[in-house]
Amino acid sequence: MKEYGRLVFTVCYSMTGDYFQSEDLAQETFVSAYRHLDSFDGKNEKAWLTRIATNKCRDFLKSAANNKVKPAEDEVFAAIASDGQSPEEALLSADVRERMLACCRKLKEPYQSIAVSYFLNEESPQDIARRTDKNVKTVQTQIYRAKAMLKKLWKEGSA
Amino acid sequence: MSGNERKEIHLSDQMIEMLKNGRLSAEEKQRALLHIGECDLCAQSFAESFAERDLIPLPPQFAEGVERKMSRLRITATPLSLGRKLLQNSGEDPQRTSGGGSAEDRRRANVPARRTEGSLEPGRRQTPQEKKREYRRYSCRVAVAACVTLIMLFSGTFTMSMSALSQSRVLNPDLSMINRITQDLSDFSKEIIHWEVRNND
Repeated sequence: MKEYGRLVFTVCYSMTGDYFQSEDLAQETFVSAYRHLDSFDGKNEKAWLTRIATNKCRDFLKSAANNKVKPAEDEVFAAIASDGQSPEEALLSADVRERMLACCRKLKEPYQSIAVSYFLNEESPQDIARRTDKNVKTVQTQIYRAKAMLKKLWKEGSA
Repeated sequence: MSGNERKEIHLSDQMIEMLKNGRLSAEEKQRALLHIGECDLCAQSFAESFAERDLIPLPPQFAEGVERKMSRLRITATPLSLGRKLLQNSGEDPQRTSGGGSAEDRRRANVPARRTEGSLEPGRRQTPQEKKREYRRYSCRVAVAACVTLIMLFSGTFTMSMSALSQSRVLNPDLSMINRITQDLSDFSKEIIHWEVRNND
């Protein structure tokens, strides 16, 4: 997971465009990989995990009918000669971070500061509780609620 | 098209970039993902198309989330052991592993084991009959609690109304008979007076 976790998550995010859904899909990828280790020939872990992640994304897109592609715009871009390098290609991680920050700013306190600390600064609930002098359980509950709100905001932002 | 010819048709780098940038139609995207899900070569190319700088940091507590999902499915191994197991070679052909393989695996995966009144045996899942029994027990407990609450609530009100009724009997005695007797006596005395007057006339 340390070696391929980011890759799997990035694959899921690039296909779905949804940060939290990608998290679920990436986690399910590793669970599925472990459950079906017997079917792995041991030759190419990267490709194998990518295949699983791709299938998970495909199933999700099929079931949710969630498609971020806009055919009208695609036709325009397809007509433009391209050598495979897109001038609009931005760093995925920077894009995700900006969007997450924008969503966090829409939250009210104390959820805003909790969300920024947890999702962007990557502080653990224990560290947040120690810093803010709150109960760990309280912080975890607030993180849970903030996550639910961010999921909605992220989807609204994608729509 | 023969099977061999089909196997040689892979996704080009351009196609992969278009897939990543969201420039494919929904149908094309599904077809591309289907192919990547079945082809090691294209999956490798797809994975390698993501530069190191493009990789997004994992969400917080990602590994804990994986552990939670595994424990729900009653898998005892930790994510760390996944790395060790990946080094083993079973010798079987790679199969499509999305969604947990067979439909039975998927159904099992979607039915997490729940705790019963006794402790849940490790690796054991509840049968439908056990679930029904547990639901009935829970309903009975809720019904009994509701009844007790209602009894406690209304027993106080009943006592109050009884005491109010007994107070009203003491305060309002029945004097109608006495009033009638008084009236009769008064009428009789008036008649006597009238009779006296008529006789004297």
